[in-house]
Parts: sequence; C-alpha cells; structure tokens
Amino acid sequence: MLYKNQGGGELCLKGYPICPGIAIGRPFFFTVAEENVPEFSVPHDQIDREVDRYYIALKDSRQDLLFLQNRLQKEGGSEAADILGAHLEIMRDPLMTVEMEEAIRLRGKNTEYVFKSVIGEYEKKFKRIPDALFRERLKDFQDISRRVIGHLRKHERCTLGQLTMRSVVFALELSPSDTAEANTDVIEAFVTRSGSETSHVAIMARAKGIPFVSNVDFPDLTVFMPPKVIVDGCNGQVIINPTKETVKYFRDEQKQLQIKVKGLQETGNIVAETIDGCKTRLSANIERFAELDSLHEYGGDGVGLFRSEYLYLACDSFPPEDEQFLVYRSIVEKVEDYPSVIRTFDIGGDKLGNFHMNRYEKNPYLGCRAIRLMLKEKPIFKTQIRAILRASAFGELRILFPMISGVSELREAKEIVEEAKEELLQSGIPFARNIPIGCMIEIPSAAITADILIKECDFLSIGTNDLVQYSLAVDRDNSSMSYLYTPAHPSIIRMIKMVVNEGVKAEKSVSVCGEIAGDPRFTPLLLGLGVNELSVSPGSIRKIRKVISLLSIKEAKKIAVAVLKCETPIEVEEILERAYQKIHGTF
Amino acid sequence: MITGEQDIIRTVQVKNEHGLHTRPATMIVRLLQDVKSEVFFSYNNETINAKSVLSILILAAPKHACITINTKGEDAEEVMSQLVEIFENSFGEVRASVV
Repeated sequence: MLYKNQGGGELCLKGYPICPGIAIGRPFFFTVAEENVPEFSVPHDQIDREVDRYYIALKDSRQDLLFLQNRLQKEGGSEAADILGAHLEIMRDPLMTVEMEEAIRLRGKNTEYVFKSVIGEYEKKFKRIPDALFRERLKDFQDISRRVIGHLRKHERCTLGQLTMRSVVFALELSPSDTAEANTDVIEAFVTRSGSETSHVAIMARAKGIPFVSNVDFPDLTVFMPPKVIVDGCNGQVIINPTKETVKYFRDEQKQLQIKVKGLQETGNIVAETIDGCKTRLSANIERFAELDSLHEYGGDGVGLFRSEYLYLACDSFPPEDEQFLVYRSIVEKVEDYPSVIRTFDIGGDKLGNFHMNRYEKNPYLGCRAIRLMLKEKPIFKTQIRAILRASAFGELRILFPMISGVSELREAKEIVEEAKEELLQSGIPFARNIPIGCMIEIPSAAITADILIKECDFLSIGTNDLVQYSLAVDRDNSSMSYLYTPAHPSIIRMIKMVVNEGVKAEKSVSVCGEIAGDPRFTPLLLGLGVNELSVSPGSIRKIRKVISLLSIKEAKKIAVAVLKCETPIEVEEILERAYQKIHGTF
Repeated sequence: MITGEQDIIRTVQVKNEHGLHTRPATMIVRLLQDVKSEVFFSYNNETINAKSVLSILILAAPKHACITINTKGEDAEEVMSQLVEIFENSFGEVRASVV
C-alpha cells in the first residue's frame, strides 16, 4: 500500500495489541542489512579516500562497543562487557588495520568489497580449526565484521541498540536478538507487519514495557516517512500523520494511563496473598542481568525462570564455563532470600542465533532444540550444568530442563548432572549436593505423563506458551492462524489441572511460567486450579500481586469449577472477563 | 655479545589447559604493544605475527604445543625473556582445584 503525502492526511491502521501503552513520536524503519556487497574498481587517485573510509568505519565501530560496554558495566553485566573488551582488542589487530589497508591499496577495489573478501579468507581459516573452543572465536569475528560493514554502509543498516533518537520502530518483523538491544529510553514503541502475540519478541517488549502493535499493514515508509505517528498498544491502533486534535486526545490518554500505572505501582508492599490467606509465590522471568534490579524494585519472590539462552544470543556462541559460572553466581548473590531457577539452554525455534545455520529443519519447533539439542551436544550441556552446580555453592539454585517430552529424556539429563557432580567432587569444587531439578511441561506428552515425571524430579514448571502451540497445533508466529492460538482452550485448562493434581499428590511444587501467569484475567483461574507459584515478567509482578490481594481462594475455586465445564475458549474467556471486571471495579 | 639488531630464536611449550586461547593471546598482544622488535611465532609449519591477536587465535596452539619464537630488533633480548617467562607461568592461569 503506497501512501502519498496528500497534504497531511491522517491514516488510521489496526493491528493486534501486544503490549499496552501509548507512544507519540517519530517513526523509524528498521531493516536488516543486505548480504550482497557491490564490487567496483577504484581509480588510483581515490584509493586514499577508500582507506580513510575504512578507518572511519573502524573508529565508529569501536565507539559503538565502548558505549555498549560502558552501559553494560553500569547495568552490572560485567561478563558481557568483558566480551566486548575482547572485541575491541580484535579491532586493533594488525590484520584489521595495516593488513586491511594494504589489501585495499593492492586490490584497488572499494572498501566494503575488499573488507568482505579478506574477512572471508580469515573465516575460512577459522573454520578449519579442529578445536571447538578456538573455532568459537569465529563468532566474535563475524560479529565485529558485521558491525564494521554496517558502518561502511550506514544507510543500509542499523541495530536497534544503535538508535540514538527517540523513535517508534517500524519493521516487517523483529527477532529476539534485535529486541534484546532495544533501549527503553530511546525506543518508544514497536510496530510490525507480521508476528504474533506470544513470540519471544512480544515477551521481551512486555518485559520492557514497550508499547507494541503487530500485524499492521503499514505503508511503504521508504517512499514517505511521516513526521509523527501514534501507537496505541492498548487497542491495537497505529495512527500515521495524526491531526492536532488526535495528538491532543492521545496525550490525554497517555496521562490517564500514567496515573493508573502509578496507582498500581504504589501497591508495592502488599504480599501476594488472597483475602482468605492463601499465599502465592510470585517470581520473575528474566533473561538479562539488568532485570534483576527491577526485581528488587517490584518485589518479586526470586527468579522463577532464568532464560539462559540469552547468554548465547548475546555473544552468538555458548559461553565458556567460567563465564557462565560468574553470571549464575551473580544471580544467586543478588537474589538472596529466594531460590533462583536456571533453565538450561532453550535454543531453536525462533531463537536460532547462528548455531543452526547449517542444520536445515523443516519443522524447527518439532526438531532439534532445547533439551534435545543439549543431549546431542553433551559437552556444551555438561559445561552449563557444571557452571550451575558451581554457582549453587553460593546460594539456592534450581535446574530446569526445557521441552521434556518424556521420562527417558529426564533420566538422560539427570545422568549428565550426576556425571558433572562426580567431576566436581573429584576436583574438590564445592556445589549443592541436592540441587533441585525440574521439568518444563510444555509438550502435551509431558503433561499427560506428569505423574511419571514428578516421581523423578523435584518440581514442574508449566510453560503455557509452547504448551498451547503444541497442543492446538498452531504456530504462534503465524499471524493468519493466531485466532486459534489461545490458552483459554479447555484442553489447556485440563492439562494444567492434571499437572497441578500430580504435584499436590507428590507434594512437589508446580508453577506456571507462561504468558498467562502475567495475565490478571487468568490469575483467579490458576489459583483456583491449585497453582501456588507464578513466574512472570518483572513488569507484571505488581499487577498480579494486586489481583491476588483482591481475590478469595474460595471464589477462585468456584471460577475454576465453572471454567472446567466450558466447551470452547470463548466460554472460558467470558467467565474470566466477568470475574476480572468484578475485581477491576475495585481497583 | 651481539648488539644492535638482534635476531633471537627460542622454543617454548604451551602449558595452559586450553592452549593459546583468547586470554593468553590477549595477554601476549598487550605485552607486545609498545615493543619495537618484530615478533613471530611458528607452529605447525605456520609463521604468524605475534602482535596480531587474531593470528595467534588462528594458530590454535593447544596444550603441549611447541612454539618457536623469533624476536628481531633492538629490544629483542628483553622481549624474548618476557615472553619465555609468561609462557612458563602458564599466563597466570591457576588450575581450578579447591574453591
């Protein structure tokens, strides 16, 4: 759809509300860099200019890293900052400076072409190294070259983290890695053409509280870039080139929203306990170290889920044991009073990173990911387990295995844990002998055999996002099918009940860590079904705690009974909506 | 005693558990930052510029590898002894035993 500047016409588009909030700002169109680099000869008298261009791009890249490194240090991510330090060293390397200059002069071609081919030659050398640890450094190298090329071709590429002007980001789609770089001070909102409500991108945006509307058929912004847009994440609206009146209306809405949010924030000191005294543990799902600070701010009961794969995504390779150990130890040291749950690497699906570049799978969600991948790459798995065990000597940690489909997988994984324990014992390295081990219940086969699983582990955590996907056979990122994706389907409710019952019988904890845990509409249902632990994004802690404090467990049980009788998701949603309105009225 | 431009060759062994990976490579490069001499490492029929961290990494020298160091220049003697020492000390890496 082409939008021509027709003298300031306002254009109102509809999409799916992913994360609430209102943003009014200037748009920025985010694209991924092209793979193909043009090649052309450069006349002798202009070669100096080409060399200069290269050095400038190098300098700019260096400045990026210094900035990111500084920010990471401030956020307490010293391990990640060290990685950037190593990248900075690489950029000072003669191979990247004098040798590259020589190559440009010798070959007499444009900088980006020479750069890309020289880098390609080094990459080949790296790939020939048999030792995996050394070969991993290729990833650092590729990261740096991408950054330098990005600067050489400034008009073509920008990472979200490099955005310096406050903007509303428009994109065809976003990856979790992209959004990980997002700075909430600078990014006002996200608008995408595709994507669906519960993909990891959405989860990330919600964790950061960035308004987000997806499935918006926005016009080609390279043709005309409007000076101002409004994103209404509450109602799923995007307004291009709004009139003065529209802007005023939404500014007022923004103010109202801020007052409401503040009201919620002031309930910071209320315990997550129902009116009739039923306590719920309210912990946090985190992936970045910086989120631990917001945990203290919002008062969560520890880390219910640490998505460890973001360590991998942050540096595009599995970090060595020592680096991981430092991160896990920092977590337990920062969260003193409660246990922290580390979920082992859940790589695959939409969090690909570079690992799967050479492994094409027709159905990645049904393929080699998470625990399956780890059981195939035992050294990587054991390294993580060792790091977690070592950190367990410093505080309460628990291990959580993702995507368990049956007890055999659990047994195999536990064997690795035993091996790791034995190794550490032999080396005299301390660790918690009886570290609790849990399974994620996100595959129907696991939910249905929860009774078998619970005999051989210490706790279960229901990951409703993937459970819905696998049970209803819907790709959560397929926007045309997203109407089928709903956790309110009776099958999901029944499975939650099934798993919780097994937990109660075995006297072991069952928590829910999917998106519904952070949805206040589901809170009464979950509590009524017997869930006594919810793990949510830090930004949701306050509102869930507030809802819990306004509930009675008696009422919650009644809601659960009513919901279990429903035959369709719509019926379930009606009951939940009515209950929510009742509570909402008392806010 | 030869003075002026010196060309010194010595062989050392890599003692680190993980070989010449990022940490030792970075240490070598930092050590050689302001050194006037040229420094080369030879291993496995490859000779590289030791002031380039990437080159050292691509060398991928594992534990027990024998590296031939060649220093050439006015401070060659001093550089060589510093390098030999750092290799001997396993680049400051202590075996992770009792925590």
